Amino acid sequence: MAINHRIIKEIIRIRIVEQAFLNLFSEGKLNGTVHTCIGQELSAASFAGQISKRDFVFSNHRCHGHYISYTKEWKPLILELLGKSSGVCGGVGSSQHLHKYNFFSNGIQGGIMPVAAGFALGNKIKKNNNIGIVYIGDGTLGEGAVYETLNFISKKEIPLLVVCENNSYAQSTPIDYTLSGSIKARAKAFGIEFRESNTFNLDNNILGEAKSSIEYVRQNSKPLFHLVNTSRLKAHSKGDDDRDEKEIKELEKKDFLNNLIESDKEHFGAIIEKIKKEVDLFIDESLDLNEMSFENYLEENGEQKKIDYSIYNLHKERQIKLLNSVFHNLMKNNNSIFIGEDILDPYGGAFKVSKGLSTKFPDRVIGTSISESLIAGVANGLALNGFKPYAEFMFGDFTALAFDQLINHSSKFYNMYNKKVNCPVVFRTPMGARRGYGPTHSQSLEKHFVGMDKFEIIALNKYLDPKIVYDYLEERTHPTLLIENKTDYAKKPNLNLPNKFKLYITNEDIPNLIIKPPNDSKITSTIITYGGSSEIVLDNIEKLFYEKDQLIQVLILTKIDPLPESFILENITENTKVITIEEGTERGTIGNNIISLIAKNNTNNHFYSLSSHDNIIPSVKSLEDNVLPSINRLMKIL
Amino acid sequence: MKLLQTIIAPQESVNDDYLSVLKIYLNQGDKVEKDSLIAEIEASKALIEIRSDYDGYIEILVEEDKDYAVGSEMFKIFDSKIDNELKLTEKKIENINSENDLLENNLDLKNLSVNFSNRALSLIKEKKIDIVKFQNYSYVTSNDINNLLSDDLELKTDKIQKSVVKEYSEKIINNTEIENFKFSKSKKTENEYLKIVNSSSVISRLSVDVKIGSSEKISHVQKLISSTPLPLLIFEVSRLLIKYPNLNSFHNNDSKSIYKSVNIGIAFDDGKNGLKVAAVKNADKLNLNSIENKIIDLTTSYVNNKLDKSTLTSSTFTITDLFNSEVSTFHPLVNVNNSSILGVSSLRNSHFNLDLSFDHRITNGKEVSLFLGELKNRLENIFSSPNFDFLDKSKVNCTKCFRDISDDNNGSIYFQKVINNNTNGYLCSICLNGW
Repeated sequence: MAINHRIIKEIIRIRIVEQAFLNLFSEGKLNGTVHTCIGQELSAASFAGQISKRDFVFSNHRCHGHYISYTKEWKPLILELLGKSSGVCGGVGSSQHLHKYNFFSNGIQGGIMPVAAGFALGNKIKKNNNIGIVYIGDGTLGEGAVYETLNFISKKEIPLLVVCENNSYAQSTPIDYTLSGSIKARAKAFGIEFRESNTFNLDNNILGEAKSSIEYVRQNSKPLFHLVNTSRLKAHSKGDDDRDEKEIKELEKKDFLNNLIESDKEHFGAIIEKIKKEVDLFIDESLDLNEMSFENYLEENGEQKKIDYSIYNLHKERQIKLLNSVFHNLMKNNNSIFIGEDILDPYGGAFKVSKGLSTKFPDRVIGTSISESLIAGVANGLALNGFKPYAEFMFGDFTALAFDQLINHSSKFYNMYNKKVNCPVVFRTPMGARRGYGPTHSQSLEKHFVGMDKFEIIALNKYLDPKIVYDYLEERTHPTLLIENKTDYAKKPNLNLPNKFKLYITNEDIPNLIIKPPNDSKITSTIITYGGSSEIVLDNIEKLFYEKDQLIQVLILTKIDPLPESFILENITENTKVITIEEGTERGTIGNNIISLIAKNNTNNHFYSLSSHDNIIPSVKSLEDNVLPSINRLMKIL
Repeated sequence: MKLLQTIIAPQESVNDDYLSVLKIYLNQGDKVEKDSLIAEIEASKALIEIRSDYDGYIEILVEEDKDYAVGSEMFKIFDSKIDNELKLTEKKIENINSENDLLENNLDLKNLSVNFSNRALSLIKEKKIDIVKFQNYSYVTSNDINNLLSDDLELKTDKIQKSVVKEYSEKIINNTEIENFKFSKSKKTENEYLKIVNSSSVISRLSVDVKIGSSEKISHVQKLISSTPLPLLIFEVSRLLIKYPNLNSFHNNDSKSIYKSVNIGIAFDDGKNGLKVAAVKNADKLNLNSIENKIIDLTTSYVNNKLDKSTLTSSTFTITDLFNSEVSTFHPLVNVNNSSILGVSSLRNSHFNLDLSFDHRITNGKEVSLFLGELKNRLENIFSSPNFDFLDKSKVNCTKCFRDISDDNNGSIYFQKVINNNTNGYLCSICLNGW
């Protein structure tokens, strides 16, 4: 079978570049490790090499071949691994984290699947006839996210081509040891079209078969699972090859490229020499180039503008009503996607936030199976494809299932791809207790998500019009974790402030609220709180004054990570008490972060924090009330 | 009138705490039929229709557009017409627990719209504080009360200080205490001339240094106070002032007023109770021991802020004692109604310095230098006399008149060692003065 000469050269180039990487690594010139695809090049050339640049590729740790085949470039890859600032991602991502055009790779097994599915879904919604490839390995078949995605792409008929490169090893573990059943049966079980090829010899027409699969996906706008049997000639990464010498020798004998070269040593030998020279020369020239400077790496926070305060007039509606109308408005933007479980009409979502949305915007309201990881991944993929996704986790406690997507994908894309992409997903979820739902349906887990790069954690409260927050979120270009409160949904912002106390809102990008006593009286304590806990204080300001001899001002934070430092610091006076209140449990609280911030700047405050007791949230009401923060516990502290 | 049914606000879903009344279709006391629609209320997830289960007459306990807690009573169905006297009972708002307290707290404060916390109120009662001080506050906590109290203490001290200064400067010295001498023409001219450069007061200063050897000598001379030669200074100065009355006077318009008694003022300032001058009255008539005791009394009174007005305003000559500092020389400021002040500096190389500031309008450099010279001699003589003990009566005799210490009734006699060709011994001051 005649193979296009260009493709042969491409394959040779891949092998030579990979070999060069192995050499560089041995010479100590690479920082980190490499996962070479020597032996698997045909798979790259067949799939990634035969699609257009309008299509996309998601790959994994063994992505060099895919990269070179898709982008048709190899120099930026070398620069990237050498850590140079002119590399694909400025040297930040290196071997496993590459992005150029529509090529994305990430080092997390399985997690790329739902992201790829989301990207493909985006193409489907745009009706642009573009398709995508996601490369996984036989080892990846261990991850749950794979199956969540197979289920999803089959059911929703998403134009995604899953290429599973089976080299029979998951790192060092032979696939027989861990993989049950057959790979084919897996695809079939989900009703996905299954095809199989191998890279071993010229008789097998993998190039044609790949082309055919690409056509299938594009024509039918349906997924396809293409198993590619291949072999890895070198170690998983570097120096971790425990395979028998004999086995490797056998594989080398079977290798397509080796055989091809054998068939015409002279001709191919010359080509190899030429390419080798080119690569070696380029490497030599590049060794002395600059790496990225630290100043360029770290992004400076913008100048803080002066904070202005104005009187805030409360709305009169139930929060759920406002949220629903906010979304009806947001979805008018053709870029908005609403994705979650159980959100379709007539049910309209567990808390009815999405009521009416699926009827009005059927293409862009996506109900899924019970798969939080999938929801988050698809949202990430959609975001990379230019959409503004609002992903709902039905209960805050379930966010745990999506943690990988949040911290290893959403949070990472911007910086690891050297600031070339944005992931503006809004992950929203209701946290909070007081309904007797019990330990796994009542938690306030926001504290566990503090500190993720590029993430902001924002909490709604019943006093602030949610529209204000969502207006901000609509424009935001980085990921957000938005905490709503279950019990606040049904509430109206009833607020009876004592005489002369006033409620102010700031003019920050994300406004905060502050309640202050009149200027002629001296504040003795400041209470800082957020979300559902604000009510505990605001309903009891007078009680705290008369019975506890405390004249308080209350700061209700909207953004709780990163903290609004200027707002907090400029409102704390020396020699006053500072109390933080939240529903999360005692250890590692948001309150600790607030106290730490203030303590670094002031020397004269007394700190107290009120949070749920260090225990699970019980269902029985009397226990629940005692575990959670309450006015009684607050009175005891003061 | 029998109650048939009480309709309460239902819990439709787990997530509801309260419901809103949207519309009430009946009026108070209306006839109602079974299953007829009474009202529509709104829960978080649904609209609920309220219907009656009986025929009867309705009592309406809620209002349209208001919220009521789940479980609260909304309507009552009676079997017969409702009494017209029946009043609407209003639903209590949930968080009004402090309303009663409010009233109690503000009972006697109704005229001021100030709110006091419970603790603040009890403090006010306890310390009998005037609440008018807080009329410009809206909310007062015990913190505010405590701040006020501590501020007050400072004010108190300041007040006393101010009153002393006032007294002093406004004091009208009556004629029994002074004797007036009009300035001579030439003196007046001199004063005017000096004023040209030195402005209205013409203060000059002269210094001498006094050798005393080590500070241990002080305890040889003074029985009670060993840290400073102040008592001895007061002793000697007070007696010398009788010889130099110009230094015991003050400038009084165009005359000088010479005091008839010698009250040596001691300047006190410990940084807390303010600068005050307490007088050792009639110091020229006291012996050294009495002077020491007086100093101790005055110090105690000063520290306890118990110095009386008279003590604070009767100094005729002032001494500022900086013996226990690092000061080597300084320019003391003449006190009001005085003409001179003596400053004592610290001991350096067995010497200490005396600086005397004086009002040149009354005295002059020559006179002051003589005064200082004599003072220096007397002091140095006392300190150089070995083991000289004022109180040891047996030791000393005047070789001329054979007086001894027991003849000294008021400490005004001193003895000085005399060495000349014929005699080696002591001469008493009476004999010395005769020279």
